[in-house]
Amino acid sequence: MLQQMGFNENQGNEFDIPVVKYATEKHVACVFLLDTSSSMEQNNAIGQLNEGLRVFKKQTLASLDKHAKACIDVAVITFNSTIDLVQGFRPVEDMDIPELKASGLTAMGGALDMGMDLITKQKKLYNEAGTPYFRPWLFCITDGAPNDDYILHAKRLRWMEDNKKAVAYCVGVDGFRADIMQTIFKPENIYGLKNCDFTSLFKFVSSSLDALRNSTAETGALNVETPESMFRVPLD
Amino acid sequence: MLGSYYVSAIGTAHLEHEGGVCQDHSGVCYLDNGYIAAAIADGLGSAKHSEVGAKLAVDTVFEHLKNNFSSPSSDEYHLQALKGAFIAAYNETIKAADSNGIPPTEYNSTLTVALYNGSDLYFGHCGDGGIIALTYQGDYERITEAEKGENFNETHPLLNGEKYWSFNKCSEQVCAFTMMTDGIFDLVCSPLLKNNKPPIVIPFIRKFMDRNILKANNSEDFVVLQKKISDYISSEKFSHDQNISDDKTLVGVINTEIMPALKDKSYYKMPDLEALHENMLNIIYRRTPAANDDTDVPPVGKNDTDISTLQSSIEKQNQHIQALTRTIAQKNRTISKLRRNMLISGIIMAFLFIVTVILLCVLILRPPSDDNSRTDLKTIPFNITTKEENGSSQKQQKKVDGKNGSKAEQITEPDNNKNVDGKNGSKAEQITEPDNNKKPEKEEAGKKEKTEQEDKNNRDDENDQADDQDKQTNE
Repeated sequence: MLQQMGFNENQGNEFDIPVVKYATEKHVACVFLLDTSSSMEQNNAIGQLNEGLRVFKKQTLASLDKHAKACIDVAVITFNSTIDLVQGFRPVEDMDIPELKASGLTAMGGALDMGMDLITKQKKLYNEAGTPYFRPWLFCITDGAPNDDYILHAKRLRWMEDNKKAVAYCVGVDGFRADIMQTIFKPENIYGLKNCDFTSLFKFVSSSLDALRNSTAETGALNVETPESMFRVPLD
Repeated sequence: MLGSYYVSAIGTAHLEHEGGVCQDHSGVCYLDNGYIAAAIADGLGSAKHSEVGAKLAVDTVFEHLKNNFSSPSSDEYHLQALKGAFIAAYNETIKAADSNGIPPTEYNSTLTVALYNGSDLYFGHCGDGGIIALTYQGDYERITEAEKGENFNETHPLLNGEKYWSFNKCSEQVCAFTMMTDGIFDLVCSPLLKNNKPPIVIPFIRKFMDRNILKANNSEDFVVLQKKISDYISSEKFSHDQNISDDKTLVGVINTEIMPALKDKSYYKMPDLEALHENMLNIIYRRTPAANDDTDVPPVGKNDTDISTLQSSIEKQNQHIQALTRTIAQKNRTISKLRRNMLISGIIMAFLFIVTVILLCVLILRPPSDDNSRTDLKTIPFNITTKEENGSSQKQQKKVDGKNGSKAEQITEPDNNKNVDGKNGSKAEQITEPDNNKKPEKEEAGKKEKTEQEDKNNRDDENDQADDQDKQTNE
């Protein structure tokens, strides 16, 4: 029989309260859907988008501790005439920053479908590993509107949002079709962006993900102050 | 006796905000019938006045059990009493919200309640907190399942209704139990231990409930425990060390008359969390999920394209390409080695060739000392060739028979002119001709001379013998 001791009396020996590492680790998956159609050449939007991605990684890494870096998982999909999975889900510290080039049309519908597939699969992996996770984010940036068949994918996205499977945001730069976007995304989750200020946008996304990671709130809404270049789009 | 302690402390996430409060509430209640009731509630972060709702729920439960749980009998009676307590808490929350003119959801909280008599443990539960029981046999058991949504921060609180409440009795005799809201419960039942049995960090929780190591024998001990555990759980050091930002609630109830059995030392060993964490990362970043997961697909309208299959295929192709690249690199290294060796060999051969040429030049250009020596030099290669050919041909001859045997015979012809009878023998004949044409003439001439001389000698001998015989006869 072992000898009884008062609670936590034996500082420094085997009866101390052990630290349980990693128990509170929770993941958030974020898919960036990036429009790389030819119109993104205008005003060097594509160049600023590339710079914005670099800033996103830099700021996220700077603001998170080592433990948290592994908790924000990022995937990147680009769409023009084709849809490319640039990067599957990785911790933000392992994120490769692509050098995107603009060309072709805007196959946004297919990109949304690929993004939703990615999220579904990633959640299955989280469940398999027993990893708690926040509602995943799907973040779409465009300067136009889909010119592929997007209706079914838009319905699927709405179903996922209504059933708390994911939360989707749309940020449009000059020329994007807000009227069509509101048939795809929830109107309250559609934002405009002035002067292709992707740097501020991605700083904002980074801060929001960090805030979400530290929250216990049920909502997946962006709860960080938006930058000046970001604005609510007046919708019908 | 049934000793107890309870603590609910504000978490760092709420401390950081001005006016932040602890949204957890907990307590224990000793009933007249010898039972102890314990309850914990975790006010929802999204509910503005959830700390009020949490306290209201716990207080209502105790009040209900005091009045409606006087003479316990069957298991069903216990469970009905607990269900009655939940209904009472639900109704009181709605009532209080109505009277204060706010939506009931502003008071929403989780709720977990236990009824215990020193052996039997009954419980009612909703939300993401939980209970760990220590049996008489020394086993630790997680007796509640988290009632929560798919995402981490979505739970099913009290006001979600009866559908999300569960009531049950622990199947073993219990000598102690602890109750925790999610802040500590997620620590004790770390998600990393999902596949462990039991899925509990035993070396952590046993410090709070195992009388084998914890001094908890009488009421004085529990007074000390209440203070020490409360101080420790409330401390920032605890939140920092364990990386908890949420509110923290821990309730412990211990039967001081029962000493739980001791298990093998390994049972109390700290799990290898580093390895479990690494395994978790392997799963979420490197493994392909099982197919046919349509969880997030609406009943109709799904595009059939299976992107994951394509991704998997691309990843495999990439791995194949990487393997090929490695192989090519290895081949290139081997080729460069071979090239180096060939270069060295070439240099050596060139050197030998030059040396040979020089030697030949020296020999050729050397002024002749006499004609015979020059003749000998020229004939050497032929002789050597002939010998080699003869040797190899003789070996082959043993294996070959019949018509094919003629070849060996033809090659050996130069030395055996008698055997030549086929056309193919002409080559060997041509090669050896220069030697053989001259030698027989000389030899024949020599032989003739020799024969004539011998004949002469013979004749001389015969003559001498005849003379001798004549002499002898005459004698």
